[in-house]
Amino acid sequence: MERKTLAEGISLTTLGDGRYVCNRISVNLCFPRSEEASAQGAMLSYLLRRGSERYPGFAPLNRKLYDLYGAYYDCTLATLGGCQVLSLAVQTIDEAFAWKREKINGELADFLCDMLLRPNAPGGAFLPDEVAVEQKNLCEEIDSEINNKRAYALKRSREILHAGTPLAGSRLGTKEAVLALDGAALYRALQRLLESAQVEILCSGRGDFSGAAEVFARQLGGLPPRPAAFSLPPLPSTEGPGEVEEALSVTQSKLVLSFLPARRFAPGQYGAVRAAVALFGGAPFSRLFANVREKQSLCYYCDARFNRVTGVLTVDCGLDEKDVPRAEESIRRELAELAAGNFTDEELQDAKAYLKNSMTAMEDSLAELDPWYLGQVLEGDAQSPQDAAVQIEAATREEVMTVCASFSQRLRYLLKPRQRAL
Amino acid sequence: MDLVRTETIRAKGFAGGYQKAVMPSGLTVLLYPTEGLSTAHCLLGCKVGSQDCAFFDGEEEVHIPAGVAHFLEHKLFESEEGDLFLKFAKTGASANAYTSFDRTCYLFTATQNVAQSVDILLGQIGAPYLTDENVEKEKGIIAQEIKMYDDDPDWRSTFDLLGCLYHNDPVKEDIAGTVDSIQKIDRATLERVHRLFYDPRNMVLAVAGNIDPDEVLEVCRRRCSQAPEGPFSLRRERVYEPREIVKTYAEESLQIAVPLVTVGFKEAPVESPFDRVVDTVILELLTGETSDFYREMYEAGIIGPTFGYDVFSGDSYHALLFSCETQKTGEFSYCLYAAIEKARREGLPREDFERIKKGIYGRYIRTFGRPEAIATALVGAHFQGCTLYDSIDFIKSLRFATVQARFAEILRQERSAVSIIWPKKEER
Repeated sequence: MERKTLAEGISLTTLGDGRYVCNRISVNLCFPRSEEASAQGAMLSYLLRRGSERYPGFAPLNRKLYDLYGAYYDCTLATLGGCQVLSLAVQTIDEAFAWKREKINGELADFLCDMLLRPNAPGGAFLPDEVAVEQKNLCEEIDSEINNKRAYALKRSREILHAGTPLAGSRLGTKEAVLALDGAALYRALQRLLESAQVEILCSGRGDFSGAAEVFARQLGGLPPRPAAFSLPPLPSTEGPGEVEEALSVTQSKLVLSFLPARRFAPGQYGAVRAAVALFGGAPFSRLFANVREKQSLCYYCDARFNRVTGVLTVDCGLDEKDVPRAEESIRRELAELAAGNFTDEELQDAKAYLKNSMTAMEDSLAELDPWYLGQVLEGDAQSPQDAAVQIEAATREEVMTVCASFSQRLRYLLKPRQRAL
Repeated sequence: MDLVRTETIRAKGFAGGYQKAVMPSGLTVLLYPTEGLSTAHCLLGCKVGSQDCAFFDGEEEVHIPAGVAHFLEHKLFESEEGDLFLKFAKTGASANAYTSFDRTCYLFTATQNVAQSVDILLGQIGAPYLTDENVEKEKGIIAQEIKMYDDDPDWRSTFDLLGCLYHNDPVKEDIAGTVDSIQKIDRATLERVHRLFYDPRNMVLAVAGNIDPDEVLEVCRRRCSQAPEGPFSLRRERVYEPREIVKTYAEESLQIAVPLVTVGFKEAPVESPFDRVVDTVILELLTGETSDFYREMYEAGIIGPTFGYDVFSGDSYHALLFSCETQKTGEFSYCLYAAIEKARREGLPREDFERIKKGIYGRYIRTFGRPEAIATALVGAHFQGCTLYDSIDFIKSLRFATVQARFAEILRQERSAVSIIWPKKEER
């Protein structure tokens, strides 16, 4: 991995490796989260994915992507703790596989710069018709967050847990904030991001990225300096409701339990944290899978995951409402068992082997490596998946017990079927 | 004497190739080593899926409840010593399985001990551990899986549509069955389906990525040395499926925000697997993001980013599906039909044909960057009776006239139906 600073707050990271058949470049703009910034970021992701001054509309844009051998291009908005990340990414086959060996690698950086720096916004405003259509689309996406009930239950749980902080807000902002925007405001928002957002460019794949580095240095290197935007948010408050139940017209209930550590884990503990979560509910042989699903047949999935940025351990499962008390009791018991050290060395070794396999496998996938390294560089680290695997292997059972013992339940959220009126 | 028949299959256009071996047991093994990648992906596919609900056991005609293939997939992960996940945990492999309409696949990804994991997989799938108790226990888990999908609007919309298109073909039934149908599944049924369908001659093993082919082949030789007794004589009962559809419309309500509409066209089952590639080109020309249809519908707010299309195809069924979340459900289907008829009158847009070919070629090539995608494509190609490279050669040489001729045969409104999932109104 090579890292280069193009300007203060604007960096380029390259990962070249002949194992890949593709090349991928992403430009990521990181900025603080707020209701207004979320709506702006979400609208910009919609507008920047549909065209630019050079490719003004779906047809010219997609003709270009077809010419780049069916290149994948997208512009997305993600959350990372108290920050949001607007990402423009393009990926296609390396020119070694082109029909006539035509030079396409060098075009990817130019293409992304076109999409980001020269939007289809004549006179300093996105086109009113395009803005209106994308406002409608975005409002529908906000409304449709209810469609996937598992994701919806997790979202509601996050909103309750982080109430009163920027982390409680929707990734996409509110419909009111979206509808308050117009083409000029959105253009100004983009310019503000270009002037102030932390910019991380990631180039990964088979190709030689020296040409891309030159393009980015030329086109982004002259932007004003800016400070790093990312920092870890405080852990959620221990105050607030400990239990929330909501009802919808659904067939299956969704239970979400959120646990907080006594204090933030140090980076040196991450190996033990990963091992603990895999052992608890992050692998298909974990305690939750083996007991809540397989032994008790209560659910199809019962998974645990830990968010390193927010510091929250989440367990979720889909089940019949009548079985919720049994599942809850089992989940808490398994965590307590691990905290007490009631697991074998073999179980721990299995969890480590599983995680190491996942880490090594990640290095084969550009689409997985890209967000991994983005998270790393934003946090000011440069740990490779292999480094993480070494850290996992070094975790001791005592460290794993300490991690498990550190968690206490903060919120129980249940989404249950609405009772039918008689 | 080595009874294993092997051959090497090479691509015409670029370096690389893979090895095909047929074991004495009849199992086909496809080995695709790659350079540089860290992982290996293994897929063991059996040609049994949710469609296989009627067949002959000798002279006896057997009908089984919906969901048996999927149920068996769950149970084959279990053994007397514990489940398959635990065995794979010892080798560091990450395993999973899935059932579709026409196949069941068991898979793992590994960065080490690949041959050992192949050994575990072949041993486990060949020797089911079924008891009355563990069959009963599984019903609770599968019932929850079914209920999870009952709340999924995309899943519901697809099956509502298939119910409109198909009279008899089991493709219209949910892959996992229903909460009621799985109650009728017992150990004897699962054992029978395993005995008849999990014959090595009805299966294929594909391993791609960071592998030593000789090592994997050695495991296969040991596990699959036994020649089968008698010819493979599985007879599926083919259901009669008329060309006509059942009905033109279905609807239901779920707790969602925006209506979800799916329009489907029932086509004759394809004679050549390459017809699916041609259909993909047609759908991209007609409704892809370079098309007038896409631009006009998007600008009018009739479609949005959720719009998509699919060539939904198997041995006995072939349908072309278009779906979108939209408030303008009527306009969506009306404009889709109108765009098809316009293209029939004026012709498909030839100017985009070559670049769409290029795009589809690029997508195929991207497959070769991931062992998982390679192994999946190897199994798919094998079950279609072709090689991994045939589609690439086909797309490169595809002519516009072939596309036009195919377009004349498909996408007939009289063989189409619409399904809509409406947002559930607030209950008082």
